[in-house]
Amino acid sequence: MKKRSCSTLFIAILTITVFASSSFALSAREIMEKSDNLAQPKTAVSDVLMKIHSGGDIIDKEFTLQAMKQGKDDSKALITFSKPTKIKLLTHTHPNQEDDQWLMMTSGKAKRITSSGKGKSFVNSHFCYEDLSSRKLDDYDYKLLETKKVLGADCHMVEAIKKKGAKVYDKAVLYVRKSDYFVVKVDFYVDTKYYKTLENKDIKTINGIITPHSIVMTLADTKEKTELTVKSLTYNGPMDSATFNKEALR
Amino acid sequence: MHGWSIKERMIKKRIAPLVLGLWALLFLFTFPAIAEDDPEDGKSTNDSGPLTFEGFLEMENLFNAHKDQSFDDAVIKNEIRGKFKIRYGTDNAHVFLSPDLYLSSAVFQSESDKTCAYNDDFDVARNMRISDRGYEASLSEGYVHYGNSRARVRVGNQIYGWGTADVFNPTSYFNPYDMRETFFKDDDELKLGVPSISGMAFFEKFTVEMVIVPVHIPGILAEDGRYWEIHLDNYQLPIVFDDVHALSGGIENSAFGARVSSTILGTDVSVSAYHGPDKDFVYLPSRILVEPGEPVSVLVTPKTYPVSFLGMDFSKSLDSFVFQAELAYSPDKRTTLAQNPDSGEPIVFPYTVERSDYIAYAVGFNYFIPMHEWIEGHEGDTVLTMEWYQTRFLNRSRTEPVITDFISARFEDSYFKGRVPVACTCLVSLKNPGYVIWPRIGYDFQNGFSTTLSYLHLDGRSEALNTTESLFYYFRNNDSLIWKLHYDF
Repeated sequence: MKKRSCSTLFIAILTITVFASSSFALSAREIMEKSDNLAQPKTAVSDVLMKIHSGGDIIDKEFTLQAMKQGKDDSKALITFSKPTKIKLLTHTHPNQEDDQWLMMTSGKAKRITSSGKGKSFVNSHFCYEDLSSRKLDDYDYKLLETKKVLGADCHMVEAIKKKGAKVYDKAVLYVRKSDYFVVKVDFYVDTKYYKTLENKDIKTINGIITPHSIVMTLADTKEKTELTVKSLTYNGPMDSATFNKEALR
Repeated sequence: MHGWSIKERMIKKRIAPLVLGLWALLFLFTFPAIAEDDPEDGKSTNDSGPLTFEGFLEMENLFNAHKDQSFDDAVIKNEIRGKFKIRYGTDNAHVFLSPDLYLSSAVFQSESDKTCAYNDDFDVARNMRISDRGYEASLSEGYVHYGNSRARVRVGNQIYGWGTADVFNPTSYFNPYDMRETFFKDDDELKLGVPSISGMAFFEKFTVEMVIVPVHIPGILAEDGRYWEIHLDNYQLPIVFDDVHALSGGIENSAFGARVSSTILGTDVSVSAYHGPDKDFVYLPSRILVEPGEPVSVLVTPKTYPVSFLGMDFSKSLDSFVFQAELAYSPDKRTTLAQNPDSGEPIVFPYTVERSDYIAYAVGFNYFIPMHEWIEGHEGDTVLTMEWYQTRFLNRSRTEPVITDFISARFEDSYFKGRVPVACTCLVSLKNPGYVIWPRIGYDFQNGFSTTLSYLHLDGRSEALNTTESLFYYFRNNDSLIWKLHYDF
């Protein structure tokens, strides 16, 4: 049984603002808050191509993501994989309780599923579930390191150290564009050891929302990587809430 | 039409206006809601075009694993299956067709060899299933859909996914089972589509679904001469099964059901009700058969009677577990009164059929094993499923149900970046001792092609003569090797 998805995917992948950075007048924490407050869509529909480079092979996966914010913090997302296998994953995310997740079975039932760890790989890619989850600013301590040019942009380096909660990564170094506080690169550390890097590329502004159209996660040791390419994207379009009703999945 | 008493017909006639009234209310609510042009809830921008087409092709070969036989005798089934999913229209209004096409080696076999024949002769069922000896075309789903964020209506052949249990669903009232290969078909093949009208209304906290099935669609059994035919060989007299017949048309043979479901604090809950033909047959020993040249035998007729059900199910995730339970209660399920052939009393045919209170429930869990924490680099999804299923007639002297007291266990995982899926399913019958073990291993080429090899081992024990044993006892010679080649497009 395949399982797990994330309703925050459109926040985490399409507008990756995992952490953020600052200008000199601001503290690291203030930079983070500015990044966290960047505009986010109310609805999103996107076709995404996932290329997994692993062991000399390239495995292509394609999915359509439909997502909708409901209220202040709740969101719902439906991920429909069309290649290589057809899977529907529905997630309802709540701020103060576990996510509700269902998988559409071939028998016609919408089956409730649960996670078995945030460190688990998302559909055998180099993203894990924690990469696709929204993060609370208060869970980390921040420290402003230096200024550096990354992916063609002047960026602030911000170090985020885990403060509370169970996390896969105990440290992350974020590269935040000075111009708009958008995170373009993140280095992740596990047990203080450099583990992998996320890069946001081909960044465009759509309906006022800063969005990378190419996202690459590269492992530090093997250099294996997963590329996400946004093939089409619509923000804030009309959307049926029934799309996210588990009874209506079939 | 058989199986319905005059009293029941009168009750049906009284209930019918009430049910139709409820339906009228549902449609009064549904259609204006659908027709309303709400700019906030218009059609999704995800409409990818008016026509979508997908599906798969599959080749399946089944071999009997008994040692002392030739290869030709061991080959039981060579089948090519095509499943197509065709949608024309928008998310809000579309036609959906999901035909299954089967072609088997029975096409090339003599008429006397019915081992893997779909049907004895050409036949068209009410749900548009067309079958002959060597081919079959069925429309498990084929409906018109119209809906929006508040409600939806579907008209046509449908399959309903009611219930939360993994193996046995007591609240899956509508879709009868295709038992021509007992439980050993793919999940999407076990349920037969039923021509029906369904309406679903979405409220903020809950969802209501109502279903009407105007004509009766009976389940399908493995007929005489088939590989999965049940040979009740522990009876003093041979047992011969009569043909299955659908009930006649008319409101009295229609089925009605409703389900209210909700998710509350991370728990999926639903309650449901049903009235209509029972999808479980009553196997009625109807008479002694004495025919020239044939041994004296007992004719058992699978009969369908009306039934009412109340049901509920729930499902809750807790850490790495999802717990689920499903329960159905009937005050009027039919069964035969038990007679003991060993008591010395004469057996009276046909057996008497009586109502009984009846209960069926399934409880179990899925354990999503955090294997990646124990095996570094493990990427597959590892799930252990356990379930207990029990049914009981609560009134005395009733023939006890055969499908009861089952423990099922299933382990699923995948290795090598999802390329090698493995699974093992175990079904153990405790009341009538018997079991099946079904290990599977596959290889996913990650380009649409995949292949699976599985082995079915079945066994059981007969406790006494003239008692119905576990299904697995009767299939003790049906150990099988199954190989599939599958292509998704």
